[in-house]
Amino acid sequence: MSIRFPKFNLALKSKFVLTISFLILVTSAILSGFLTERQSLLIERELEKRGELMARNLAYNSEYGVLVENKLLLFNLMKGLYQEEEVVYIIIQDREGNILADWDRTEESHLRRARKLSVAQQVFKEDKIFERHFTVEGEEFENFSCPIKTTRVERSKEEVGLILEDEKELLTREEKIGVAHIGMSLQHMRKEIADMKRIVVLLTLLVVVGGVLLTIFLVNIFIRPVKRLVHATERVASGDLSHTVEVTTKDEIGKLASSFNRMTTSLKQSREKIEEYSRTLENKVKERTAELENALKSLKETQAQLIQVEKMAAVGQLAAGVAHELNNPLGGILGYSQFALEKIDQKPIRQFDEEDTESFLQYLRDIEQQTKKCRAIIKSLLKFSRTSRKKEFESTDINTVLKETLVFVKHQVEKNKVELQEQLAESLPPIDGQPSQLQQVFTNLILNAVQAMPEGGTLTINSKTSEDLKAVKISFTDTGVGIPEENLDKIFEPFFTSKEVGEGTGLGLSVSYGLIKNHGGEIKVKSKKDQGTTFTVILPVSGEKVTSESKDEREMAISR
Amino acid sequence: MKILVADDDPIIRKLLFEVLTSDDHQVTVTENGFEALKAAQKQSFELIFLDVHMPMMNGLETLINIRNLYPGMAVAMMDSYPDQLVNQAHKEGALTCIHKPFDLKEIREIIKRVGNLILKDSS
Repeated sequence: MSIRFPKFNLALKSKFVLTISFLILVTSAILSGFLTERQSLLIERELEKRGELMARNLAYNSEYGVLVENKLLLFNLMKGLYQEEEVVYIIIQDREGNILADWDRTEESHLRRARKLSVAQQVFKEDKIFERHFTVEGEEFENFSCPIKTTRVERSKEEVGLILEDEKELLTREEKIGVAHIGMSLQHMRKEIADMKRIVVLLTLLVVVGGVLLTIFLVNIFIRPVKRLVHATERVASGDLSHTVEVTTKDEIGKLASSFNRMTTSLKQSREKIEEYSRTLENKVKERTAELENALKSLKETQAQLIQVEKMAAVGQLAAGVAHELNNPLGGILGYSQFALEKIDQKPIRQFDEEDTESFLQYLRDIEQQTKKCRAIIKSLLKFSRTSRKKEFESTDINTVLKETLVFVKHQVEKNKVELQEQLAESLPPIDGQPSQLQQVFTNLILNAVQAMPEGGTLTINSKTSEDLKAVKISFTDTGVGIPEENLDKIFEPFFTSKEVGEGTGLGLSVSYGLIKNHGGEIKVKSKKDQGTTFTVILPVSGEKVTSESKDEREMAISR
Repeated sequence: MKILVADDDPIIRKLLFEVLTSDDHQVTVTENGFEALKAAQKQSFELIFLDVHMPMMNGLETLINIRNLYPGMAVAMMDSYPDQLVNQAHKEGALTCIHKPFDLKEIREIIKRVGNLILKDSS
C-alpha cells in the first residue's frame, strides 16, 4: 500500500519562510526545554544546599542549649530561621527523641501534629545530616535532619585536677546529644520553577516570532530578483522580446538574469531573421512556381514524345505481323498475276472459251481483292503510327478498334501459340475517343498478355456495356504467369518492368494508363501468380463520366 | 504427285490449289498443322507445302511430326518474313524454304526436285 501525499503548491517565498520558521521553532523549543530543565535542577539544588546549611548551623548552635536543656535558648535560635520563607517547621529533639523545642509556621494544629509526627516519630539514628522528602496532607516537604553533637573530652581519673600543657594528648570523643530538623516547603520552589519556565517560554516565543518576522523580511529581499525574473520570462513568453531584466546581484540569480537577457536578445534577433526570411521566401516561392510551370510544360511535351516512342516500339514489334499480313495477299497477287500470264501464254485470249474467260476474270478479281486488302492494311498501319496531334475526340466504336488491332496483333498472338477467344458484344454504345490511341492501348495490353504466356495459353478479349449503361468495359484475360501482389500497384509506373534488359521499355503500361486517363476512363488489373491476369479498360460512353463501380469484386482500382 | 498444302491464309490455299491442279497434281489443302497431319494419315503424300507461321501448331512442329511419321514426305516450308524458325526447320529435315510472295516458278522448281528424288529412290 502506498501513501500518497497531497501536493502543496507553495510559492518559493512560502517554502523558505516555512522551512526557516520551522527550524527556528524547533531549535528554540529544544534550547528552551533544555534551559528550563537545567534551571529547575539548579533551583532544586539550591534549596537542598540552603536546607543543609541551615540544618547544620542550627545543630551546631543548639549544642549548648540541648546540653543545658535551655528551651528558651533554643527558641531564640529558631527565631532567626523564621525569616526564611521556605522554612515551615523546626524541631529540636534530644537523644531520647523528646521534643525540646519546636516551631511551625502554620496555625492549624492538626497540620502541626501531622508534621511533627512524621518527622519526630522515630529516634533519629543517623550520624550525619539526612535529607528526606515526604508529603503531609497534600503538602510536599523536604526535611533536613542534622544530629547535634558535642565533644567530650576524655579524662582519666588520674588526670583530673592537673593542668594540661599539651592539648594534643587530649582524647576527644564526639557524642550525639540530639537532632535538629528543618522542614522546607517545596511550594516556593515549585513556584520559582514555574515562574522561570513562564519567562523562558515567553522569551522563546519572542525569539521565534521575531525570527519569523525577520525571516519574512529577509526572504522577501532575496526573492525579489527571482520574482523579477519570473515576471520577465512571462513577458517574453507572451511575445515581448524587448523586455530585459535588471541585474542587481552577482550571485546565481544575477547570472540567471544575465543569461536570460542574452537569450532574449538572441531570440529577438532570430525572430527578426525569421521575419526577413519569410518575406524572401514568398518571393522565392513565386520564382519556383514559375520554374515549375515551365518544367510542367516541357514534361507534357516529353510525355507526348514518349507516347510516340511507345507507339513506334509497338510498331516495331508488330513489323513481323505487318510483313505477314502484307506478304500473304502479295503472294496471292503475284501468284495470280503469273498464273494469268501463263494462261495467256498457253492459249491466246482470242481463243478463250467461256470457261477460260471466267477463270481469267476470277484471277483478276482475286488480284484486285488482295490489292485492296494490302491497301487497307497499310492504311491501318499509317493510321496507327501517325503522331496524333489532334486533341479532338471522335465518336468511336470499340469493337471496330479491337478488330483493327487484332489484324496486326493476330500474327504475334498465334505465333506464340496463344489461342484467341473473342467475346465481343454484339453492339456497343459509341465512346468519345481517338481510335489510334485506343488501338495503341489495346495493342500494348494484348502483347503484354502474349508475353505472359511463353508456353502458350488463352487470351480472352471481352467487350461489353457496363451494368449502369454509362461505360464500355473491355477486358483482356490471359492464363499466364500473373503479377505478384507486391508489384500490382507499380506496374503502371514508368520504366517498371519485370523483363530483362533490352526486352521491354517498361513504358507500355504507363503510357496506356495515361492515354486511357485522357479519355476519362480507367484501367484496372486483377491478377494471381501463375493463374493469369485480367486488365479491364473502362471508357465512358459519349456524354457520361466513369465512376468506380462498387460491385467489382477484389479488383485493385488504381486511380491516381 | 500427291501434294498437301497447309496455310492459314485462304488466298494462298486457293492459289496453290489452282496452280498445282492445273499442273495435273492431286492437291489437298488444309488450314493448320492438325488438319495437315490428319490428312496425311488418310493418304500418303509425296510433298507438302507447309506455312511456317500458323496458329496453334506452327510449321516447325508440324514438320517434326511429319518427319517422324512420314519420313518419305518431302517438306517445303513457306514464310512471310525471315524467322529463325526457318533455320531450325532446315535442321529438322525440311527440303527447302520459299519466301512469300513467291514466284510460281519457285513452286514448280520444288516439284521438279521432289520428282527427281522420287525417281532416284525408286531406281
